[in-house]
Amino acid sequence: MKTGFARSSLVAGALIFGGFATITGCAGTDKADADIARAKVRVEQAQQGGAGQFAAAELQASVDNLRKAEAAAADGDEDEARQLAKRAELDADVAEAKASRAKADAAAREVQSGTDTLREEADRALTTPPPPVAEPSTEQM
Amino acid sequence: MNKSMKLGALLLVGFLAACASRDPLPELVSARQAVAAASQDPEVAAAGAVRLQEARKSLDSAEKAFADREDEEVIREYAYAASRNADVAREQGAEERSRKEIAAGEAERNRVLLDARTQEAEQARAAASANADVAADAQAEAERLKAAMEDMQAQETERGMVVTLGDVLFDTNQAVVRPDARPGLERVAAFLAANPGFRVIVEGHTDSRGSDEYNRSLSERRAEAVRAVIARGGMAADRVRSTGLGEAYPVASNDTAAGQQQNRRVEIVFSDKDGAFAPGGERL
Repeated sequence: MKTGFARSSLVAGALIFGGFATITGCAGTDKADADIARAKVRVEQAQQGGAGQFAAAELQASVDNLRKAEAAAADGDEDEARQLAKRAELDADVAEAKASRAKADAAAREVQSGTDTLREEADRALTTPPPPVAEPSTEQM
Repeated sequence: MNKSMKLGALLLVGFLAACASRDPLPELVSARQAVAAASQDPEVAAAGAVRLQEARKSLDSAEKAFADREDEEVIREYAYAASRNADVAREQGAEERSRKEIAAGEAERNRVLLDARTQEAEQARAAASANADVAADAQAEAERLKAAMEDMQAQETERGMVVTLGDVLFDTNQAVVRPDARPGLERVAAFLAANPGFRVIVEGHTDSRGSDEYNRSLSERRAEAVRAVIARGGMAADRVRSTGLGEAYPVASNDTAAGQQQNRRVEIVFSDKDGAFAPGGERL
């Protein structure tokens, strides 16, 4: 009886320990929430950076991966959700970098065309003769 | 038995070989390409170094996972991170290139503006210099003419410059220019020759003694005599004209002998350098 109790308590202890281990183990496999939240922020930053206009495909890829991550998290597939959130974050980085580059390209073109116009105007101004020399009135003799 | 063992061994070797030489995932191949392309861009080294480093780390992890035959899932995630980081690095490099173009364009713009301003200033300076030259020329010309007029003892009047020759030119009632009066007239002739724009009118004047008709006739003959001396050597007829005005324009009282002598005179009225007479200059 005694030994039986001891044995059963051992089994119960093992079960309890195993249960804890399982629970802590579950808590140890990171929840995807933080990654999803970070990806969301990056998507918003990319949108604010003009990705919707200059990097539509990259932004769409980012948003798609974010949606999939949220869906996976809802299904309890934390690993999948985390991976997809990280992809969404990387996609947003590309979208933002591309938008930023596109804006710089546009600015460069603008500066170039402005300079070209200026040069043409300057060339034209130089090729047109200067105003005629004013004849000063001479003393009447 | 021996045969089947040999076959089994062959199969095993074949299987292992197939495993060892398994093709890398397409994701890994494209990650390698993305990282290689980014590495070749010099602007990426300048502006995308951090991301390129990230990409290389991820690619190394992917390669290691591939070599260690880890899950395709794991290799794919590393490869994805490598590709995307390489993409970001390349965008950063391209942006850096555009920023350099902007800087160069602005520098060029400033240079063009500066050139234009310099050129404008140069033109303005040249124009001012040309104006100054013209003004200086005009000034020199005016001074030369003034000196020549002074040389002829011409006086400035409302009718223009006028040289007055007294009655010493002629003997009483004669219309022949005395030889000693010629040098003064030669100077007028020389002036007209040297200044082809000028014209003159030679006016004969008398005092009030004698009839109007006589005086007019005498003044006319005397003016003509002077004209002939000045125009000698073939000067255009319209440059030297003469007129006899008799006693109509006295310059002094005819009541005294001195006044009468002043009134007996020849006046040579000058046009301006362009041949135009002042208002009242032409009394023909």
